[in-house]
Amino acid sequence: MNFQDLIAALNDFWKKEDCILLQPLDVEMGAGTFHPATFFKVLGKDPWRTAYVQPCRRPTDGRYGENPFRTQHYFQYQVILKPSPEDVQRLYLESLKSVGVRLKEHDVRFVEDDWESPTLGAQGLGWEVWLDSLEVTQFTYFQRIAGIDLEVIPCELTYGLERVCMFLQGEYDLFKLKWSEGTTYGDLYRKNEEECSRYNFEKSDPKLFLELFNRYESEMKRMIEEDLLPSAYDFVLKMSHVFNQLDARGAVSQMERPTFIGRVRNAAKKCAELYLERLNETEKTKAK
Amino acid sequence: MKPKKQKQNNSSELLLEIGTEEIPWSYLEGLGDPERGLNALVKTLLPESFRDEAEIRSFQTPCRIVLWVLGLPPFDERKEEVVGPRKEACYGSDGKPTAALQGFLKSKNAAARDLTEEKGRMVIRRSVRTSTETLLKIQIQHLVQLLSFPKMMRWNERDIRFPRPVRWLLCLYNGKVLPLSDLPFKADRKTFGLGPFKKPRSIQKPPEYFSFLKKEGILLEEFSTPDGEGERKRTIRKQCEQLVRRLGGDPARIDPALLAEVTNLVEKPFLFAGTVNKTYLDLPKEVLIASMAKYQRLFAVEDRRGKLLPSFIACANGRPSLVKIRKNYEQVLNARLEDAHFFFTADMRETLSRKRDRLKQLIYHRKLGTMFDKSERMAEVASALAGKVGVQEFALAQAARLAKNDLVTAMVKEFPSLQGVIGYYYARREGVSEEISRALWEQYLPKGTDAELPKTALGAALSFLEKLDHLTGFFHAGEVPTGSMDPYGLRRAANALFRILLERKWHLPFAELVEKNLERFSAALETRLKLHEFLLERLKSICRERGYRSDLVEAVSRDLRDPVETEKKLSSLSQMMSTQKETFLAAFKVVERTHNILKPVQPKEQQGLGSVRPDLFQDEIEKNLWNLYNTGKRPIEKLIAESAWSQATARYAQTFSETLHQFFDKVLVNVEDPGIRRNRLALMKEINELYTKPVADLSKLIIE
Repeated sequence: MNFQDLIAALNDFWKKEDCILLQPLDVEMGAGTFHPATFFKVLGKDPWRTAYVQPCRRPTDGRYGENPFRTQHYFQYQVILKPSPEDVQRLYLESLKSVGVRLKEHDVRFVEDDWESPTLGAQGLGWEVWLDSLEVTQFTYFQRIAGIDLEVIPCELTYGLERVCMFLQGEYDLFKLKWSEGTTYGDLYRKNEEECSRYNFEKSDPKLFLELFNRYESEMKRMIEEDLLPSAYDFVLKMSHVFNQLDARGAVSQMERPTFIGRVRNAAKKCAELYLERLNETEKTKAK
Repeated sequence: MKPKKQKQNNSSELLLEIGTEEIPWSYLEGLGDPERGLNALVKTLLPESFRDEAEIRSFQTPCRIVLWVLGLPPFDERKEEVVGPRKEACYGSDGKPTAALQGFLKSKNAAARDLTEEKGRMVIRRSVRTSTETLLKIQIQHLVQLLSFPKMMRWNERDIRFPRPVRWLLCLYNGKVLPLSDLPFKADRKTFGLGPFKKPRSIQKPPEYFSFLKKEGILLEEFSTPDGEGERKRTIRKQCEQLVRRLGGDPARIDPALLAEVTNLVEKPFLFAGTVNKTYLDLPKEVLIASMAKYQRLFAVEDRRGKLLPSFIACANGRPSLVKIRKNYEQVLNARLEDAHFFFTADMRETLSRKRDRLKQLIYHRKLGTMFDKSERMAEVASALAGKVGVQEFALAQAARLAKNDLVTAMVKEFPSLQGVIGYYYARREGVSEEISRALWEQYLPKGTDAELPKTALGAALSFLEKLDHLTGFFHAGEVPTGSMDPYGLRRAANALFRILLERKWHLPFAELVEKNLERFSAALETRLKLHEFLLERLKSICRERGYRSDLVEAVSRDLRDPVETEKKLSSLSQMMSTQKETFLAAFKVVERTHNILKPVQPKEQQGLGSVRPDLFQDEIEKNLWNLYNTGKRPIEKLIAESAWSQATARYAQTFSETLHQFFDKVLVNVEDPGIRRNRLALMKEINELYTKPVADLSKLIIE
């Protein structure tokens, strides 16, 4: 199955499970969890089901396009099921079946991996899912987000699209994966990897990023004051990405690290609190 | 699965299966703990009268926690005694029960026939029967709620936390479903087969349950088996050994920790061998092994001499197609090793020595500076240590300065457990001597209580420096272990330190070295005392572990001046206690009697007793004793100076034993005259301390 068909197949499957198919957010982020459709929508009691592709950037993971497994830019397929259904494991396995994995012939394993995101103040319990020892999905029952214990426990399924595709194509060099008939993943992204790796590790300007970090933070605060949530949250994401850029450049000392992470987390928390405040107000008005 | 003991016909049995999504492997291991594990918990939940009767067996797979209790009596009978109001308050003048008595009986659900009178009070005394079924209904709910794990989660079921969601609960008591109404999930007679899509199966009786699992190929791992492994682990181990042998490897080199982990990652083990691409075999062996274990839980195959063979062994789950999964496993391994290769190449761009500057970025502890500072401190103390332990000062200092450099390599960031090992390989590659490189590796040894010690003297010295800095540093930073909490592994470090010292027989002014290290932090007096006390306690505990009587350890280990000599002393005196018992006892008596007479004297007063004045002697025996002291002192001190501990003890006993006992028979020490009393006490003190100060305070011994 080609990369583009895999996305279509997953969309087909999750659409039938009442997921709203969304589009990626157009701001750089390290994981699909940062998308507002996950970060905000898991708060509160309302049920929510969604599925979307999110391109992710992790500057430190760049390998100049020379490594078959790691890149600084890749795609996640993110599913949120809130509340987590009782048969969520079965549902997930069905989704693999629907894209062509013959489960009975392979070794499927749920291996403990408790997910945490210190920048989002998020924590969950779950597994990495293995297909013949290849990690293809992160499967998490969220317990808290932005330091807030969740009222309703959602399940987050994060497929590493490249990984699933590798398994399906039996091709363990991601640049050789077929994106479509006649076009490989490498055709589309290898040059990008090489150049971005050079930028992230060698050419980026730490001074600029440091300044941006501070300015994004003040802008985030100002937007919270102005009660403009999407803009405030955009700046949280930008802070996080800029921090990752600094990190890749080796410009964050171990001593400063927790401080940077703490600043992003506080920013995320402010947004989550504002969101919840609005949610409570809506409920109050409804009650009246 | 068959019961171990023959059961009586009227006894009953319980089968409980908690069906879950995959529980972390280490949590399952924890459930087998003999003191806090599942069996122990079940025991405490059963009434006392059941404990000898019932046979408790428990099992696990990643998706099941199974309890099977056989030989349960049909009911529990318990004697009950409740003391009630005074008799006068219970009966009216007409002899009829009062409201007070009625209330008492009602509150205890008892009748008048249960009453007896005792010491003027009415007492309910009766035996109460509870059916086992009722009892189990309550206790199983407790069991599910009391099982504790390192991390628990919520999953939208009310009032329950478990490491992963519970998806079914099979609970049969004599073939009947036990309703457990207080739990959020309903008990039933259904179990489920092997995944990925588990099919339900209704169970009537336990034998059917066990044969169903067997048919599915699910192997239960029993807790607390006599040989420490259950069916699943044994099967995996045997198949793994077989494959290793077939590949020309040495089965003794199978990693036991990985075996334990792999056992708890599958329900139905499926073992197979695969090939490691030869192009990666030039990576350090430890990197290959770590990479295989970390990402795919693969067993490396080594031959008898420890050479890595180009094969791996994997343990999959279920009944997959071998041809397909083997190829996939191999490809994933290739990709992983490609990543390791990338780290290796990246690390090679700069020599190990040149990485030292980057240690300034690596915080050791916020109060103790960076890893750079740490290695500097180690290098400085190296000069004080090297000469005393027979290694070259230059070599030890160089090793100390290189010691932490591998912490900034990409490889150690990826595989933290390889710290030191990577240092060794990289140092060798750039021409650092084998001796110094080896020390970089060995600085982290021993890694556990009985783990291997550094083999080389330089490695031992570096490990010693490393631990000494860790201990003094963290005590200075106030990160002192409390109770069972020891997040920075200070107890482990102290134990390692003493093991190295004692095994190497390094006669060191240990206390002085500790002081010297503390000076580097200009530590407060309180810190010094705390650390001293902590280290002395560790030394004693190590000595006890080495088999010395704890009272003798107390008597001998009173300072940290020279721990090796302390152990030598312990060894001599222990031996003496069994081979020269009488002489030893004689010495003990001398110490004990002088000690006892001095005991009531306040320490301050003891200090001021002053010296013995022969002019104040009144009795011939006093004079004799004093003469013996003066003539005997020198030879005893000489033996002590030669560390001839048992001879010194024997000499001491011979010198004083007889005359001292005569003295006590004839002379009263605590006389009215304060001058004479003081003088006699001073004599006792001299005799006591002649031995107890330099050798051992035998008054600490408990001898019948």
